Amino acid sequence: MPHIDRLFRHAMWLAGNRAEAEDLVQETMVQALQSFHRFTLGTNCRAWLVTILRHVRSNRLRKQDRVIVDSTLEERAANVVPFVPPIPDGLTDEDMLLALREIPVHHQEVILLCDVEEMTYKEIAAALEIPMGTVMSRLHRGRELLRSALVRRGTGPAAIGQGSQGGR
Amino acid sequence: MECRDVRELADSFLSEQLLVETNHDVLRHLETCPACRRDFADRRALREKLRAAFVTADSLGPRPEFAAEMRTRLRASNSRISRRSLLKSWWSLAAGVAAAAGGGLLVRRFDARSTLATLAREAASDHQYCAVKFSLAERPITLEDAGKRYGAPYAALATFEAPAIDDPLQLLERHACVYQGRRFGHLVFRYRGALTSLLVTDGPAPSAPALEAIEARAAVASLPAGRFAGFVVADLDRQHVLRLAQALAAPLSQHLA
Repeated sequence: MPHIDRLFRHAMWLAGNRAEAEDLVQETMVQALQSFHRFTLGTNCRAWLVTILRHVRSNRLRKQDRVIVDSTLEERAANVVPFVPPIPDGLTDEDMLLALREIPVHHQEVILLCDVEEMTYKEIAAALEIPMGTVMSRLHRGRELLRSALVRRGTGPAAIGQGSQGGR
Repeated sequence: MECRDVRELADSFLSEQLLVETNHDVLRHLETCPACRRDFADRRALREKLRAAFVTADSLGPRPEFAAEMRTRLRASNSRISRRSLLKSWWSLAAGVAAAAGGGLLVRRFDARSTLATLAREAASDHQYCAVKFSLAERPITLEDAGKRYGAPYAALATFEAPAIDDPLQLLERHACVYQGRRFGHLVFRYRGALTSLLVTDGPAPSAPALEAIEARAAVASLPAGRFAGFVVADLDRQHVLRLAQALAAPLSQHLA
């Protein structure tokens, strides 16, 4: 099962706890097996599994009546990304992941799907059920936010000078 | 292209999502602009660092025994899936074996023929938009990359050498491209003065090379490519296209076997 490790990491990132992540991966694999006839051979298998994983999670959240964060509010907040200085050297893997956690969820997810899972814009749009233009704008803003978060981590709060120069 | 334009395209460039011409424009600018080169290198390094952090973080990784446990659970849940859905699940892998065994051979042949005609139309369009017009929605990737992502046949196409035939066959380009969601291994040749495509995709392998009776600007011949469907597409006389398909069929099938 070559995709299990990456799929689990994705589930763990979304769920935040091991037991729930294991449940998510198991349900994803069962659904994948049941709907294997829908998979087109030659297409990206990991992208297909990640898409199922996200649907499984969305359904669970819906059943639990858990509120999904308002993406428009997040995107409005994310628009204020004025100036991003160079990223400091010496950042650890933990710094990278903590910085990613700091940015809005809707930007985290496109960055993960694009930069980590190496899915195409089209595959991401299908997985998240959003237009391709939204994928591109979230990715662009998300990467800027991530760079800002990394700069804050690398230089400490006193060095935060950005955020006051207005949106672009 | 100015620095500002190039920076706006940086994300799509790094995600390999630009059209071929735009990509060339960006590359041309980068050759002469150290500042943009530095900016792109920083962005690329950030992506790689993030990917490395994600795939190696102990806090995100599964327990060592998780994969084995999952296999056992899947076997158990697999046996609970109904016979009907199980047959359905494995249909695309079994490629019609069940239908033939159940007496559905004619139906299967009809399906394979109609699938082949659909694929032939898609191959003709891919030839037109990729080889001739260079205007696919998604940027092609190398066959080596496609091999890593989608399976060995793509990697094998990266090393396929066309046999010597009556007229010289000059290889111009090889890559993996996508047309309307279908992925092709694509070799572009110049043959008898025309751009000529050899396309391989996942689909029923025809039993022998044959001309496809479809409405297309170019002539299309299907050919077996191992267990995949292959197509030769060119704006040439149909008999030339068929003869080329006949010349390529055996060496291609052997190479992909």
